[in-house]
Amino acid sequence: MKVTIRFTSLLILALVLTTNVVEAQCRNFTKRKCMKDLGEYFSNGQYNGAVMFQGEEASLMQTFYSEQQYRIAVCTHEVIAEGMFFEVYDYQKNLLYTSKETGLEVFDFNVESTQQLNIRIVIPDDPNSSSQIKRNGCVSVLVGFLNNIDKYETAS
Amino acid sequence: MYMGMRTIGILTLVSLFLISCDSEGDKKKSHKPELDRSDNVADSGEMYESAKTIFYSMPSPLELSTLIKTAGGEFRLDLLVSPTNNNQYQSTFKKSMILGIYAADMSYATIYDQQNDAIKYLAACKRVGESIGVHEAFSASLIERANANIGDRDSMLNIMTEMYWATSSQLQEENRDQIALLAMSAGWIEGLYIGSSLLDPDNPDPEISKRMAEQKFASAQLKEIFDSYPAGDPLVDEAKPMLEPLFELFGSLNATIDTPNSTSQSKTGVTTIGGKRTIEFKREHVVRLKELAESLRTKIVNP
Repeated sequence: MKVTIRFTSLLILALVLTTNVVEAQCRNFTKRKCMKDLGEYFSNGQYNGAVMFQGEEASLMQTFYSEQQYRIAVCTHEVIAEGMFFEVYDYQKNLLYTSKETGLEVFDFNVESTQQLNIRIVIPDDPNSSSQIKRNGCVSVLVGFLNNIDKYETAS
Repeated sequence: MYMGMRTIGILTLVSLFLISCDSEGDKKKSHKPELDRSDNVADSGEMYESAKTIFYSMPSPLELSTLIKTAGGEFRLDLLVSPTNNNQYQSTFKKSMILGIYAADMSYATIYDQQNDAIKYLAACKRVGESIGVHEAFSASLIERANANIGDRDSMLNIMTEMYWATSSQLQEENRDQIALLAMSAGWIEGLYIGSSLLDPDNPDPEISKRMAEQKFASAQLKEIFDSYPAGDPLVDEAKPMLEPLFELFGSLNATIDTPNSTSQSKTGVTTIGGKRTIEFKREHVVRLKELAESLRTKIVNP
């Protein structure tokens, strides 16, 4: 009985630790592999990362201000990168941009009027896989904005 | 042997159930990306029977300071809180909130190239941050880099965004993202306080006024995040009523769409999302914003 309880406790501990390790891995993945995708854009400082399975999707609602230039970068672990795409919708659900079939992972844009946009990230199922087991990996959504202070100072 | 295996099976199932219940709670409480099993993808014309992860976005203090500066706001050191009183704050609630205020003041000073002041706020952030267990964001190497790059605004901005990112990701990883929510909310209030202090209700600067009115969107996002936490979280329960009057004010502003969105792409590959919208921001709104921002900010800054 004692052995049974010890075994079960170890199993529970392993599960809890695994969850935390996966979270930490996702954060490290973002830091090491994804932040560079922002290039000269300044990160908005927010961590939007999660482990996703094939067949899942994610969304992020964000305010974008006029007279600023932005970059959205979506970074995925290579095991689930095949077919990944993201789309940008306005609040009336009009599609403004899709990366589908382009393979692009960044989108540079500006808005004429400040507004909220919804970014939808899709990790499709693998149509060629006969396995019931879906692969998973980290997905990070980064939002950066371009420093336009110098431009403003020159103009004024 | 049979009994042993059965006991393992039952205990494992019970444990897994308890873990899954707890993690569901955590998803709400900790504000890890939330899973919504409903199929709401039909809007885009496609059907995915899929789970949905929802990321929540908070206002960025750096961006708000940039907006105030590019709108023509002058630097006002007198509006900022003193960075030297940081040891007066005792509770986690107070520390989280003042961390947000210091971070916003640091952003503001950096944007205006007041790097000596920015370093003082960075030191205050470090002291308060470490007292609530945020260590990685204030590593010795980051502080050294800040001191070495004091004359270089872009480097300072990079260091600051790294600090925000490290804080946000560490707190999320540790299921303590309520602290990040409180800090970001306080930082947003500080931005509103600075921005609205620059406004004369009888003759408001149109650009600063516009940027303040646009905080309607940030307000709606923050409200959504607060609403997504179930009651019972002491930090969120204390902060939410403080912010309610601001949510009400911004919620009452009328927004109109003058022309719908359209897109065009420049030769450099940058897309412009066109479309015009206006947010009504009358004198009474300016007066109310000034009152609310000042009283909330005083409440946060008082130990």
